[in-house]
Amino acid sequence: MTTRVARGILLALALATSIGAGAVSAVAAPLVFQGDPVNPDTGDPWIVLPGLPLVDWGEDEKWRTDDDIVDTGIVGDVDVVVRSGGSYASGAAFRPPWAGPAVAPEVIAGGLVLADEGTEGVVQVILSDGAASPAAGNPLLASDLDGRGVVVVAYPDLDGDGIIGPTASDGSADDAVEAQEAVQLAGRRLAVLNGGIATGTLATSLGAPASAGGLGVLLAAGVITGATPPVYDDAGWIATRMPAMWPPENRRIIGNNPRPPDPTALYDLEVELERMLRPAPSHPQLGTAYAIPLDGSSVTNDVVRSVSGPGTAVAFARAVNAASFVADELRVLRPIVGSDGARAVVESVDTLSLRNAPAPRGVLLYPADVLGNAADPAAGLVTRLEATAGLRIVSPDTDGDPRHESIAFTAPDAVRVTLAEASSHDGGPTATLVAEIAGVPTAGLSVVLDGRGSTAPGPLASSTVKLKRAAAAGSHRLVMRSVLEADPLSFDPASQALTLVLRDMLGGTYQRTVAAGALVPNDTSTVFRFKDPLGTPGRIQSLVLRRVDGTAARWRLVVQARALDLGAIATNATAVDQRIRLGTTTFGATLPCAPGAPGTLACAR
Amino acid sequence: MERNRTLRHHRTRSHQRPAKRRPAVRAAAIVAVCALLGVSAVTTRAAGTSPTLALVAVDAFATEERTHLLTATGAFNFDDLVQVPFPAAGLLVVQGARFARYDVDGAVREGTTPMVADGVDPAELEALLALGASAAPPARLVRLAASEVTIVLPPSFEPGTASVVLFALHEDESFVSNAIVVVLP
Repeated sequence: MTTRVARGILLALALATSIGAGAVSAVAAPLVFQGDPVNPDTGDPWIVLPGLPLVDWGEDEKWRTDDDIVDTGIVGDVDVVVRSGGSYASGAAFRPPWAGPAVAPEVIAGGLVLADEGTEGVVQVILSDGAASPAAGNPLLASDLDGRGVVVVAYPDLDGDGIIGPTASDGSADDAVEAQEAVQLAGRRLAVLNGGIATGTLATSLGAPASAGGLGVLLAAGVITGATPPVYDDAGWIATRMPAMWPPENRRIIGNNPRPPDPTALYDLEVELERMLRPAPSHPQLGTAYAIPLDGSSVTNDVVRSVSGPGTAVAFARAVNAASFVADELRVLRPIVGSDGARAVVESVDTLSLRNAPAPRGVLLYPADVLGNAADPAAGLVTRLEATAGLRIVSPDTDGDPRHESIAFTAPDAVRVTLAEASSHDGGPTATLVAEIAGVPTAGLSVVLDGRGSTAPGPLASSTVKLKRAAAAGSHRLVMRSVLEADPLSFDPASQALTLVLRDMLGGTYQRTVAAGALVPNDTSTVFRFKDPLGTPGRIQSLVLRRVDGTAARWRLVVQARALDLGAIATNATAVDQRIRLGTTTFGATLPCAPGAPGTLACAR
Repeated sequence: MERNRTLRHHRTRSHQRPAKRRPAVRAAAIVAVCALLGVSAVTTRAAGTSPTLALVAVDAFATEERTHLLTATGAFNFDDLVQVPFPAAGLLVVQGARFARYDVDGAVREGTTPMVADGVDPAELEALLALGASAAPPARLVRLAASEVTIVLPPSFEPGTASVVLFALHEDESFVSNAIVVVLP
C-alpha cells in the first residue's frame, strides 16, 4: 500500500514522476514507500490496500460517483502487518497469522476497565518492506516514521462464517449483515510507532460464549505517515488489508485530534459508512475482494478469539431480519446462541409492539455478561419473568401462570419468550416484562398493547351529561356530549354496537345499547346517526357521532334521549361514572356533578 | 433541564443538547445521537479529546417488589471506555437530595446532599463524587453496552420522578450530560 508523502518533498516527487505514474523516490520518501506507485497528478503515492486494486474516490471525495477510480493494473503491496499475542520479536521474520479463532489468542470481552474478568490482548503492528516473498514481506525496522499514530481495529465475525464482509459463497441473502461486520468494530486502540513497530494492548467489547467457541475477531491496522507533528496528518495512511476502503483523506477518518498520538487518551476515529467503499459481491471489478477470511490466509491481518464474560444477567433481543437489514455503523449486532443451538445474529430490544398482532409475538432471552454479550450462564442461573397487567406470557409456560415464568439456564442457548395481550384486563395501553434474577431485575421490556383485551376505559377528552327529571318517571330527559380519543384501527362505528352507561356512586345505572349496524353513516363515513322510532320507551331522539378535527382518532358523540326513567340515579349524586363502549373499546371517565335548575343534574369534565 | 416528551409513563426522551463545562464535541458521536433523535446530523468537526456525553432516553421498570431498573440510552465514549480508564465516569440518578452513582467499573455509591437538589452542576461534580457510601443492595450496574447503561436503583429510591445524567472526569475537567427526568413506577 502506498500513501501520501510529506508536503516538503511533494515538488521533487512531482518533478520526478511528471511523465506518468512512477515509483516513489527511495531517497525522498519514508522507506516503507520504496517502489510504490504515485498519482501522477499530485505526486502523492496512491493509497492502495495490499493485494487489492487501486481505488480512489476522486476529487468529489465521495464513493460510488462517476469520478471514482478503479485500476486493476495497480495492486497494493504490503506496507504494514498486524500480529496478535505478542509473539513478534524484533528482527525476526513474520510468523503466519493464526489459522483461525480456535487456535488464536483469547481475550475476555470488557478489557481491564469495564469487566472484572476482562482481559486485553497484546497486538503488534510492524512495517513491512513489501517484498514479494515471503508473502508478508520482511519487517522494516526503520525509524523514519517514529511517533506516528497507529490504529488497531477489531472486526467481529458476527455470522460465524469465518469471513469478515460479504461473500458470494453463502448466497446474497445475508449480505447486509455481513456488510455490518465491516463497519461495526469490536474494539479499537491507538499505539505509537517506534523503530518500525508499535506494540499495545487491545480490549474487545463484543464476545461470544466460550462453550460456543467464542467470537472470531479479525485485526487490522493503519498507520498515519505525515511529517509534521503532533498528529502527522499532513500525508496519507498505510494499512493492512481492510474489509472496506476507508477515506483516502485523513481528515475524513480522524477528525481533528490536535495532540500527539497517545494510547491512553481519547481519540476520534470516524467510522462512517457513507465514507467507506464496500463493494457488493456483484461488483464487476472488485467482487468479494474486500472479504477477509479468518483462517490465516490474509497475511497482513491476524485473529483473536473474544470470549464473553460470565453470564450473570439476562438480556432481551430479536433476531435480525437479513432480508430487511441495512448495515449501519450506529447499530450494534451481536452473535448469540439461538434457541435452536445455532449461531444467531441479534439486536437488543427494549420495546415490543403487539399492535395488530394476529398471533403472539416473541423475543429472545439469553444469558448475558455485563456488556450484553451472550454468555455461558453462571451456575444455577434462574430468571423469573414478571409481566404487568394486560400482558400474557404464552410460552414458555410451565406453571399455568400467565403473568410469571421461571426459566433456568444451563447453557448459553437463548429461550424464545412469546407474549400476547391478555384476553381481558384492566391494564393500560402498555405493559412491561421484567426479568429478575434472585429478586434483582436485570432486563426490562416495554410492550405496546393492541388494546383489544382491555376493559379499562380509553380516554374521554371531554364530556358533559345533563339529566333532567323535573317531570314524572318515564319522561326524564338526557343530553350527553362527549369527545372520544379513538384508535382508528379498532374504531368502526359502521359495524360495532354502541353502549352508553351512566352509574352513580351507589350503583344506580342507566344503560342503553344501539345494535351493531344500526348507526347510519353519511357518504364519507365521517358522521353516523341514529334515532329510535317515535313512541319508543327511553327513546333516543338523536344520536350523532361525528369525526372532528379531520382525524379518525377524534370523535364527538351527542345523544339526546327522552321518555326515560332515570330514577335509579340519585338526584343528589356528586359524580357519575360514564362509559361509552364501541365494539371492544370502552371510553370512560368519572364526571363530577352538581345540581342545576330544579330537577336537573349537570355533570362535566 | 427540559422534559420534552413522555413516550410512556415510564419512558422519557430528551431532545436537549448535552450540557458541559467545556463545549467540546465529537462529530461521530453527535451524528450518532442526532440519528437516534431523528434529526439532521450536526456538521461540527470533531475535537476528539474531550468526552462526549449525551442522553437520549431513559426507561424505568419496577418489579412487583418495587425494585427499580433503569436503562439509559445515549452516547458516552464507549469505545474509549473499553480501552482507557477515566478518573471517573458513569451515571448519576438523583431524586430530591438523594443520589446514586454508578461508575463504569461497577462501583455503586449513594448518598444525600443538597448539592444535587437543583441538578448536577459540572462545577460541583468533583465534590459530589467525593460524597456517599457504598450503595445498599440490590443496587448495581447491570449492563454497559455501546449506547446503553442499565442499572438497579437502591431501595431508598421511591416511586416518583428522578433525573438521570451521565458524568465524567477527564484531564482535570468535569463533564455532565443533559438530564432526563423519568418517572419511577
